[in-house]
Formats: sequence, structure tokens, C-alpha cells
Amino acid sequence: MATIKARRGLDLPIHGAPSDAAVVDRLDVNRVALLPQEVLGAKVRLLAQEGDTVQVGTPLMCDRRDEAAIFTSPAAGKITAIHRGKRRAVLSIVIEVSGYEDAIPFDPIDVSAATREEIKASLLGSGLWPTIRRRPFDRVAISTDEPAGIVVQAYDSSPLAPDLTEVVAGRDADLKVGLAALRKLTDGLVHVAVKDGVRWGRFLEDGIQVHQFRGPHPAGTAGFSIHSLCPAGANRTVWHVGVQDVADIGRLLRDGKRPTERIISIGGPAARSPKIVRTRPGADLEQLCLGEVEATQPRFVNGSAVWGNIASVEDHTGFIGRWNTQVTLLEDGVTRDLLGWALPISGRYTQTNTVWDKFFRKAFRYDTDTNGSLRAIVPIGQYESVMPMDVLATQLIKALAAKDLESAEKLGVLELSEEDLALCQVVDPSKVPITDWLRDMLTTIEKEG
Amino acid sequence: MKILRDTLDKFEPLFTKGGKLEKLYPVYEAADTFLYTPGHRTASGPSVRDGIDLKRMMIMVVIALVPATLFGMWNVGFQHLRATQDWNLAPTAAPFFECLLYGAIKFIPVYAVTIVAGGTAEAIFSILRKHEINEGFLVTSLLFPLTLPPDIPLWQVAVGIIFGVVIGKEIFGGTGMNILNPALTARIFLYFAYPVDISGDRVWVSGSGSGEWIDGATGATPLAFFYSNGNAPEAMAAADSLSIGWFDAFMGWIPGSMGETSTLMCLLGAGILIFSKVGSWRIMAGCGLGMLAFTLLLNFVAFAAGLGADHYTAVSPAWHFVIGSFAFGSIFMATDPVSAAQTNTGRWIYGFMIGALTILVRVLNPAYPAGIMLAIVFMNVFAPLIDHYVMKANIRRREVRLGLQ
Repeated sequence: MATIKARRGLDLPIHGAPSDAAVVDRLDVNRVALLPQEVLGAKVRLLAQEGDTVQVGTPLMCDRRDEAAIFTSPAAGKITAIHRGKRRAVLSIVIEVSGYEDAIPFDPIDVSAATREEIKASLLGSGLWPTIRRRPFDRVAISTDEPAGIVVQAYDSSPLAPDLTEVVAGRDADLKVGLAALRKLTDGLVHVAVKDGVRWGRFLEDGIQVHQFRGPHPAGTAGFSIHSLCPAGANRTVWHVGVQDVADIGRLLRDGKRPTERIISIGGPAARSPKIVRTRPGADLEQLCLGEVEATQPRFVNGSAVWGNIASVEDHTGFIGRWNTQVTLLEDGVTRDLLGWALPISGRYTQTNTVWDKFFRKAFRYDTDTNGSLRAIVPIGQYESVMPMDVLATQLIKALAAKDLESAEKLGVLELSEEDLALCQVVDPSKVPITDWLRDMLTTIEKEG
Repeated sequence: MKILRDTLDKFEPLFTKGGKLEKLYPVYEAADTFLYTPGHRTASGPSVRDGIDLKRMMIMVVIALVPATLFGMWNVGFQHLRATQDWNLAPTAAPFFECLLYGAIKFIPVYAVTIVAGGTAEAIFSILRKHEINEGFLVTSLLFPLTLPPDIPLWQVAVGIIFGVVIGKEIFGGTGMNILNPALTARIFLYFAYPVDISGDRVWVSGSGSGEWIDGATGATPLAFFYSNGNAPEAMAAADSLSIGWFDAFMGWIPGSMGETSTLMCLLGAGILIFSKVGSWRIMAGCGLGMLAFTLLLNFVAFAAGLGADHYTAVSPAWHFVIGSFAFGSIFMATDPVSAAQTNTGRWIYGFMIGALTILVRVLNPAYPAGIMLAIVFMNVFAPLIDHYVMKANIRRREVRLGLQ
């Protein structure tokens, strides 16, 4: 078990961490949804219609780019709405929940005896396949991929993220089966990334390695793990799966039980009492966070404050995302301060030492202010200071800005996703839309293939 | 303060699209965001952002320049007093406020002309090219006057800064795109276009042309003294000569440009830049190392070739550190993030080369004693090349990792 250290990065001192590691049950949610737009670039084919009654596991949609992988219903009930946005893109498939007992039966399989094709078929058919994602492009794994390795992410260093080791505590049997199944899906190794100090030797097996990670965020992200353990590139696909999803896969294959629960953390400066909750996959955030929000104008973030997507009730995307283990609540009401740029004390955190609040404050009540307006890139080394990978951040970002496909590819854009450059965008004084550029570039490369 | 906000909001429609003064939007934007934080919400990407923006970053550089500026003003007055009244006047005995006032009278007009002329050029380009007025000019407009002699004609200041802003920055696309440091481009333009007013032994102390100087006074700088007399610090420190010792040069009460003379004040500025993480310590350290390495090499050559301890090549690194504009250049000019190398490895190489080239030009090229200026501009041009090779190494490492090579 080697320890891998992130030498650069940043742990945002954000207010609103759960004070108690105990998991609180919040299974009383009666509206859940699937968010097709999470599946980046998806061409959605609906497999169920508004008004249909569904069971747990009923196919709801698939992506026309890879129709073998279906997306299934996380709950039993009735489809009450299919919301569409610009160019009729499906934003969410909303289900009014009637229960979780009524599930499409799934026959357990013996993983140790099963072949790769059998395991693949079970995952594809059960709707658990989309829990696996792939680099390059950071999209859902393609059913014909031959991954060079699989990274299981059991450490999330994002601000306010739950301790993933605790999240899967007591699920060793599920995890073992899940890991064994993943082991069969690749000719390479299965790498398990855990936090420094976590002893997971019990999962070590032939073909399964456990690596400890330490250092500031992004030490515990799939991108950094893949970069350090099993680099991805144009002709080298690497898969990554969250540890909770691996346990779910294990449970499905072992017991035939589909996942109906998910542990996430609810935190952030606008959360009244940050906590870890056990809730339903795709749960409605408005219901889940009822009475938890303390803001004039709240913003729900699907994921961490650093890389999460905006989950907006008006846009019908206010539901927990498929891969998420956290929801962040932020104040979205932004004020204009007089001469705000000149004051050495402004209540804001900066990674540079130009604002001095950081010397006497431990946690900051971040809001969604950009803290500056858009300017040309002035590279004072801010990107490098939060980039632990062997990636020349400034040069890569400039290549993205210039839409220079060839340079970007050479500089390693294919191993990255929004999550990996998010920190660069957070600390950027020029406030340029780095992650948008990144996605545009990845989409272009994928199209021109 | 509500009134101010309301007034700004009232006039905003005039400047936004479709308004009567739509073309002047960059001017409105500059004023509006100068007075108030922009109040934009994150729309995509990370929901939270760091507290720094370009305004804060640039103001930090300006703050780092304040010690050098204040000291420079005092020194202009002090040098003038020394040359016109008492050649052996001790700095501590000089009337403080009188010196400061004299210096301010010399400096502020130059600064004001820089702001007005350069700012206008900047605004015109912003309006024509439809981009925001960039805060980088705050720094350029302070750096430039600090590199000028006190009696510089104001029209030259205006011509210089306009040249610097237009040729050094705007034709490349504005802040962020420029290849050369605009303040330095302006300075170099003046140096080559009007050498009489910006070089020689007479321009560095105010009032030389008016015949007020007393007998024995000279405006020669230690750099010029070494250049013409070889390694002779004792001769320079003698009372009938410049009467300048190492400590005087370090403190900066010596003839020179308006803000460049004091190594101590520059180091103070370096401290602010490095502490605030706005300036690159790698470039500064690289400059120091390059200077040290090349000076020691020259010292060794002087020794090995038997040139003698009083030859110009034998001047020690300690002296090179405090004379000329080495400290000012390597701390404030070389670290301009846009025109410098932009990879961490590249920054070391870039800094080292500046330090080495400075001494090369100073010592081995008799025509241009102001080595640092040329060294920085030269390396500005080469910075992209350095980055190119750092990038190539990175790309190769990646290909090896992916098994492509």
C-alpha cells in the first residue's frame, strides 16, 4: 500500500461541515428523478412515458450513443413529469414515489464463476452500468470499452464531502463482491483509492490494489487517482467508480437487491444543521432540505462547492445527481460592496495573501459572488499552485481558451474532467470560464475523434 | 452611499447595448466596478470563487511600489540639496520634508502625465477593441515614472508611455497578450530616442541644467563610476569623489532614476509581492542566482587572466546587487506575469538568464551600462521559447506514461 501525496492543491475553508458523523435517516422523500443531462452529451431515448407506472428497475431511458446501457427507475411509482428544456433536451424524469418494495426481480449471480460477458450483461440490464464512468471525456462507460484499469474512489477530498470509508462501513461483503466483479471487467488492475490512514488491506486480492492518498484537495478525486495510478489518454480508457456504487453493484450481484438508498452529506454555509443523511437516489432536494436552508436566496449545488452543478428548482433539476455524495447549500443573494476591491478585510477567503481575513478566521461563509469581473488571463502561477498533476495548467488553459485542439490534447486534456480544473477556476483572478472551455474542447475532440 | 449606487444605476442604460453612449461602455464599466464590487453570480463551473480579482492583484503591486516611490521622492530632493548646497550632507541630517516636497514636485507631474497620456491611449483602445479597461495599467503607470530621471521633459514622458501602451501592449491585443513589458518598452523607447535626456552623468540629479550645482558635485551613479574607473569602491567612497559606500548604495541615497535607487525599498516591495503571492519568487530568486553566478564567473576570469583586482570585471556580486537598477528590475519589471515565462520551471530559467544577461551587458558591453533593462526585454522575447521547451518535456513525459513512446 503505497501512499501518494498531492503536493499542490487547496482545501477551501468553507463553513458548514457536518458536526456529527452519525447518519440520519431521511427516507421519507416521495419524489425522485433521473437527470439525463448529467450524462454528458447524451442523446436521450425515452423508454417510458409520462403517466406510466414504474417499478424499481424499470427502464426509463437510454443514450442513443450506447443503447446497451439503460437507465432505470430508482423507485416504484408513477412518472408525473418529463421536463424538457432548450431544444427539447430532457432535463428530468420525475417520479411520484409509491414505495420501494415493488421491484423488477434480479437473479443474483456467482461472481467468482461468472464470465466478463455475464457480469457486463447484468450491469447493463440492471441499470447500474451508468455508475461506471470513463476517461477520456468523463462520460458514462461505453459497453464496448476495454479499460486499461479501473479506479474505485473511496476517498473524496472535496470540501464538506462525507468520509466515504464511513459511508460504506459495514458493507464489506458487498464491496468484496463489487470489487471482484470489476476485477473481471478489466485486463488491467482495479485500484482502490483510500484516504491516508485507512487500513483496507482486507480488500487486497490478486488484481486489486489499495492506495492511500494524502494532501490537500484534489488528493481524493478520481482525476488525481487516475493520473497517479493509471493514466488515461486517447487510446487508453480508464474507468472510475465511486465506492458507494461499488457496494451497490456488489449487493445487486450478491442478493439481487437494487439500490434504493444513498448516503450523502448536506452542508454548506446556508445549511442550518449540516448532517450526513441516508436518503433515496435522485431525491428531491426541496423536500430533502426542507427547513434546512438558511438563506435569502438559496442555491442548491449537486456536489461540492468547487465542482458541483447548480441544481435549480425552477429548471426542474433540483434532485440528487447520480454520482453525488454531497449537496452544498449556498447563499445566492449577492450584494455590491463599495470599494470592495480595496479593503484588506472583506470577509472573503483568498488563496493568495491579498485579503487578510484568512489569518484570523477558520471557516468562511462563501456565497456565489464571483468576487470580480471577467478579465484576460494574467498568469501569476495561481493555476499551478492548485494543480497536483503533471499538467501545465496555465498552458493547457490557454490552449483551451484558444480552442487549440492539438496543443490541448498533447498537454493532457483527455485525462481531465471539470472536476480537475474546477480548483483552477476557483482561484482564478481573471474569472475566466475554464470548465466550460474544457467541456467544449472535450466535446469537439470526441466529435472529430 | 445609496445615492452613488442609484446614480450609477440610473446612467447604466446609457452605456449598455442600445444606449446613446454604448461605445463608451468600457469607461462606465471601469468606473462602476472601481466603485463597487461587480456583484456577479457564478453561472457555471464552480459555485464559489476566490476573493481575489485583477483589481486587488494589481493594487497589491502598487502597494509594493509605495516604499520605493516615497523613498524615491525624498531622494530626488536629497540629491538636489546635496548637489546644490553641501556635497557632504549626511542623509540623516537633511531636512526630511523639504526633500520630500522637492521630490514630490518633480515626481507628481511626471506621474500625472503618465496617467493622463497612457490612460487615454488605453481607454481609446478599449473602446475601439471593445474590451474592458484593464487594471494592469495601474502598475504600468507607476513603474514607468520610477525609472525616469527627475528632470525629464514632460512631453517625452507622454510620448514614451503612449509608445509603451500602444506598441508594448495594445497591438498584441491588450493585457494578457503582450509580449513585452509595457513600462519597460516605454523606458527603452525613451532611452534610444532621446538618449541625451536619459543617460550620462548629469541627468540623475535634479537641477543640473540650471547651473545651480556647487563645485565638486557630480551626478555620476556608482554604476557609471565603476564602468569608467574599474573596481574602485574606496576611490568612489572618498569625500572628494562620489562619497558613496556600499551601505549608501544599498539604502539608495545615491543619484539615479526617481524610484530605482534603493535596494532596501525594493526588497521591502519584494517582501510584499512574495508574501501576497502576487509576484513570482522564482523569477526573483532566478535573477539573483543568475547575477551571482555570472558575476562570480567574471570575477574568476579577472583573477585567472590576471586583470587585477581593480579591473571592472572584478566588481563583486555584492556591489552589482546594489548599483544600477538590478533590484528594481528583477523585483518589479522581470516579474510582470504576462511577459515573463509562464511555467514554474521556465520562470527559474527566465530569471536566471535575466540576472546573467544583466551582468553580461553591464560589464562586457561598453555602450549600455543599463543592463537590466535590455536583459529583461531580451528575455521577454525569449520567454515563449523557454515555455515551449518546458511544454515539450511535459508532453514527452505524458507520452512515455501512456506508452506512446
